[in-house]
Amino acid sequence: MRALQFDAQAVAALDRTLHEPARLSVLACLAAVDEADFVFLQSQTGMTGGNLSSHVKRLETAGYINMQKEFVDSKPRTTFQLTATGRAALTDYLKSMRPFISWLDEVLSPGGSGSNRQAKR
Amino acid sequence: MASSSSLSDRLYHAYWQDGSLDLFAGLGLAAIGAGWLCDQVALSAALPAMIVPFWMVFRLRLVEPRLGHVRFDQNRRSQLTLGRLLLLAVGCLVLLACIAAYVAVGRATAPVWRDWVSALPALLVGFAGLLSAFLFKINRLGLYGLVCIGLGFLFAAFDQEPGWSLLAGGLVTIASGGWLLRRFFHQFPALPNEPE
Repeated sequence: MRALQFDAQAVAALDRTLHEPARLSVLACLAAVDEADFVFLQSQTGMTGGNLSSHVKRLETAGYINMQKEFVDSKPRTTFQLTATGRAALTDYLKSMRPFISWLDEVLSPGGSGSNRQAKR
Repeated sequence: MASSSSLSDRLYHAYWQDGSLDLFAGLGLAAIGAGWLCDQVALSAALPAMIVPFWMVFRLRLVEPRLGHVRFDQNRRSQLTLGRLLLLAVGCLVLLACIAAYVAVGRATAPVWRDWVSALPALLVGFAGLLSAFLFKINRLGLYGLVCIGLGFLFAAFDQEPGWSLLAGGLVTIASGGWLLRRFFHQFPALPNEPE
């Protein structure tokens, strides 16, 4: 079987807005539902309010999510939705990561090219 | 990486893990059982319906500030609506069957029918539990259903009133709901207001 090639350029060109665990988990949550509020994202990602706030702002600036503010029982509620741009970015990110993960999987698996290299040493 | 649907499943299950549903369903069931034992079957059967608004307020006041609000995708929302309608229909049938069984317990003459008719309400509630587990994909509801069925046969074997099995099933559900709720409150403390 032909060994998978490591495309360093593709990895270097990854979308930095997405390539961050906190923002990626926010987008993944929003990809799985129609909309979610700030508290739901906080409860599911385990982030602090300030931390989540800064990440959603960055995602909103990039146009990946929509933000709507409303008052429910005189308390503010901020609701988020994944935009079409966000969904496309997430799909592209997945497409870029998939060959890299396959390559890494090959390298790290027992008998893979990585373990052969170690054995030769 | 988890697929979108499995992540959606995980979020959906997280949404129902607070135990409030179990607690209020258990209260409703225990109320039917207690009402049966006090000869107030029709009145107690209406109690679960009256409990629903309290459950919704409870979720709004105590669960949502901790867990947050989410709107699932159209497919899941349609499933939930269909499930609710089916469950409502089954609930009405269970109510009618319970009243019929109540009448039948007093009139039963055939020995086999007389022995096992008192298990019927718990069997019907158990069936509703199994159906709910299937419709809403919440496995523990099926477990409660099985517990109710088991209790129905157990109390019928000891020639007890059907109310006892419903009351016991309700108490088991309340205990499980209370445990889940305690765990939920521990896991999800009330969050401060959203930052501006």
